[in-house]
Amino acid sequence: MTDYLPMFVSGIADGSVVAIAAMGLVLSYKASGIFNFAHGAIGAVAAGVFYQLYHLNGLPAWLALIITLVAVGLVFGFLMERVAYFVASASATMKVVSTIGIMISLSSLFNIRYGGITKEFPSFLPQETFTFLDVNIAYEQVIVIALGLALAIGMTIFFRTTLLGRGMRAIVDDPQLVGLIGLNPTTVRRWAWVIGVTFAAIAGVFIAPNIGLDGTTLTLLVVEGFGAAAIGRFSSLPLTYLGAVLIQIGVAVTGKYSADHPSWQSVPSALPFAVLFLVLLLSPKGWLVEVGASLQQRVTTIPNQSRKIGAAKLVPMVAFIIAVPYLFQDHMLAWTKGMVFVILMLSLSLLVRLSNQVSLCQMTFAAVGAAASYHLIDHGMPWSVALLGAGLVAIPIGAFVAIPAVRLSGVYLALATLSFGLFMQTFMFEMPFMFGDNPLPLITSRPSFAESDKAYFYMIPIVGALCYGLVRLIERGRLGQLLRSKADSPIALESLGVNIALLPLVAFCAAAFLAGIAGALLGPNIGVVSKGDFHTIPTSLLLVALLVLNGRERRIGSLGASLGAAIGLVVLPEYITSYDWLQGLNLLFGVLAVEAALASTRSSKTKAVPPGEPAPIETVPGSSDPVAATPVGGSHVQ
Amino acid sequence: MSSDTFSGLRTRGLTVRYGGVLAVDSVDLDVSGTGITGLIGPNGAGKTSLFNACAGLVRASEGTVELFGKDVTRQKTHKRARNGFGRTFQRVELFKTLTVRDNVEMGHEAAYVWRHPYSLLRALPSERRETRRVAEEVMELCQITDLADRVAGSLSTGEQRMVELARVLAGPARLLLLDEPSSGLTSLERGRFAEILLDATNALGRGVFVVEHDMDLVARICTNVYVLNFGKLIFAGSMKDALASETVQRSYLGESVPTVDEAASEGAVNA
Ligand SMILES: Nc1ncnc2c1ncn2[C@@H]1O[C@H](COP(=O)(O)OP(=O)(O)OP(=O)(O)O)[C@@H](O)[C@H]1O
Ligand SMILES: [Mg+2]
Repeated sequence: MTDYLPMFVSGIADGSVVAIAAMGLVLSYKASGIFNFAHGAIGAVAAGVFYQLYHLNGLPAWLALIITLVAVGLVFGFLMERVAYFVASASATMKVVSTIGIMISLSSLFNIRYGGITKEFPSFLPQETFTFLDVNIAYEQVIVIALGLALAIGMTIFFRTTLLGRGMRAIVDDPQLVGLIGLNPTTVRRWAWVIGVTFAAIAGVFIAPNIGLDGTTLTLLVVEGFGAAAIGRFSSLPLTYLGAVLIQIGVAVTGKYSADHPSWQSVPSALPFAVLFLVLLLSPKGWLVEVGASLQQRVTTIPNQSRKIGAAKLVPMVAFIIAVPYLFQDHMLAWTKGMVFVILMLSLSLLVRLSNQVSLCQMTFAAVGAAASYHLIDHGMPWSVALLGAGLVAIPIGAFVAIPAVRLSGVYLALATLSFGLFMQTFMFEMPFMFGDNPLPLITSRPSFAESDKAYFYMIPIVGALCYGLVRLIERGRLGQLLRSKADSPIALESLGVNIALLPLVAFCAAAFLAGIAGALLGPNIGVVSKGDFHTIPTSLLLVALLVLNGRERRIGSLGASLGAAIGLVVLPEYITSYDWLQGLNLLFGVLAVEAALASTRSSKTKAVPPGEPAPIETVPGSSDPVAATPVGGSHVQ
Repeated sequence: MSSDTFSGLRTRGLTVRYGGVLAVDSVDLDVSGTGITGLIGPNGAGKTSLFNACAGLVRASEGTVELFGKDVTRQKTHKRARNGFGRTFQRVELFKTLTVRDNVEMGHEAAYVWRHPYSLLRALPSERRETRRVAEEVMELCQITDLADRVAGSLSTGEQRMVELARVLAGPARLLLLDEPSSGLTSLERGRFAEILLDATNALGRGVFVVEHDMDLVARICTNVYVLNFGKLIFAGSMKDALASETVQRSYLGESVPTVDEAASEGAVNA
């Protein structure tokens, strides 16, 4: 047991840093109703700025720290406040996409500046240690722990006692009330964001010496804080702090344990994501209240039903696909991959466009399909049977992810899918029944009837057409109608006698099936498949960002949107050889995704009241009394 | 709870609390499954909350709900709907992006969902035919046939309320809970609405339980009426007795508005 004591100390130290990030996240979420997926990326940017000032420019650590925190806090605080303000009335999906877009943009900028390779980050805190109860403790750890505790206590007191703090707690549900007590709502929101973002910056700078200057790892570490925020119900700062510390103690202890027990190897990195998923999975109905959901307009901003593709569109599309092997001989594999991604995109659009749900783990379903088809073929199954099997194996996984979808919506569903994806990636991918802990990729084979590059390329659009047929069948059938109805008014559909809880589950199963098939098609293209092909961050996130980007254009429909997104995501990068330009492309996607999210509220505002029609008159019970009219948890059903 | 089966909605001690607010206070109802029963009361009296507790949209803190002799207290909203409840909402809840016809058809089709595994994907031809027929019939009855292909979200409030009524009439619900169905309607539309409602109850044999501020309308269509004030039932009985009752006059119509006519016009303003 005494072997583990140092683990507790380092766990508490790491937990304190994660707690700072998580508390900042909760704070800004509570004050704005926007869950900031870019929180970690902001922390990474802060680490980058500090690295520049301290290591490259040689400023003293304290000065570099102050400049970093003030600059990052103010710049991103003000920026996020504006973004949050403009997407407040957007659909839940668009809210998620807006901050994911910022995250993608910031990560690309970070990578353009510092490259994709981890740089050593100089430690700036005293490295001396002292011994206490036979444990070597670094002063660095003491400082970090004290800082975390001080900020936790300080913020809790600030929230409870000061006018500004109380205003931050009330602002989302009741901006008028905040106005009544003499505060400017915009000021309150802005300072909430500044504090929240500054916390992310503190966490980024203080954690960087341990893990180096690496954008992705820094971002992920703050994502670990999401689990802590979930323990705090995305609302309580003390519980968030406690959650972060406990999770990181768990990480440290299992990390030590796994040193002697190789089978536990992936537990430490998977633990925080498992906690997040489990909290979301097990939280009772109404336990997690979506902040600011009442501000959401009940207008669907994403076109629900794709148009029937007429011959006018179909003929050129087919002609183009037939011509691809002749036009792009040198990039055949990329175009084949692009075609596979069309199927992935179709699966995602089924969820996002039809069911109004957002999945941040689409690549995970694909990974399950890829692994399943590999093992099925390995066990002697014919290729095409294995392909179907890959889809079928993904269905129960989809159903499992969808269990939270039965009760959760919007941002919490996004978080559940994100944590599931990250958990699968860090834990399950390593299992022998998936890719194994061997770093070597799995060798895949093409079917005997499509051995050549050309034949394999042509096979994909044929499978794709079958998948598209399934999507159309669902869209135009009863399920499509039910999902559209549910998107418009869940309570009306429920009141007509439909068990609406199970609809998202069915949608997820169908989406997982398609993604599983896409995953199985991916490996044989280049002959190998590995876990690295299916990363949640950034690939799954990029999928979502690109889908909404294309979805803006109503005329394109789901097939066109999928095709455009797949080309942007997979084919285009193949033509770019410079790392910086590749990152630049991602930056563009990120910026455009943010823009799409902002634009969605503009277009829905004009749609909400059709021209020439008076706005519907609505009576709100007790509307003369703003306090009484505030819903106490749950939806306000009239 | 009770052993004798009552054909309609029966609640005993039904109570709804929101945090500290007592919105519905131990209410006993016996609403007949035939004819039209009214529920009136001033703003914030708890009428909508009472409806929601009956339909399962809010959880009752105490009490029981029985529907056509079956205890539904523990059932979810959709189960209660299948046991006979239909519902319209104070704030219209249409499928705004669908056409009027799709809305009304969904009212009928909802009952087919989950009947067989295939039911989610497509309608059987027989189901399709029946749905079409019923929807046409109901749209005819509600005089919205000419709106059938319009998108529901683009209609006026009055038209939307008609579509909502048609949607619930297209389903199998035996007792309809209508929450302020005439608010936002012009007086012309109100007259038409009353006729349609009377038609629906007579011709289709449905029971109706209606929250209504327009006292003229209530007096015209309701046989029995419940009066709610501050969450408490202060009157239950025939319409005539209600108009004559001192308590009702005092608490609902208010000291300064003693006549029915003025109360009615006040209701219109509120709506
Ligand atoms: N979701 C909710 N959370 C908290 N309080 C609520 C909620 N819904 C209603 N209330 C309160 O409960 C009381 C009863 O409201 P309810 O809407 O049932 O009244 P009503 O009779 O339908 O009023 P109206 O005529 O205005 O529609 C009111 O004081 C209202 O403010
Ligand atoms: Mg009401």
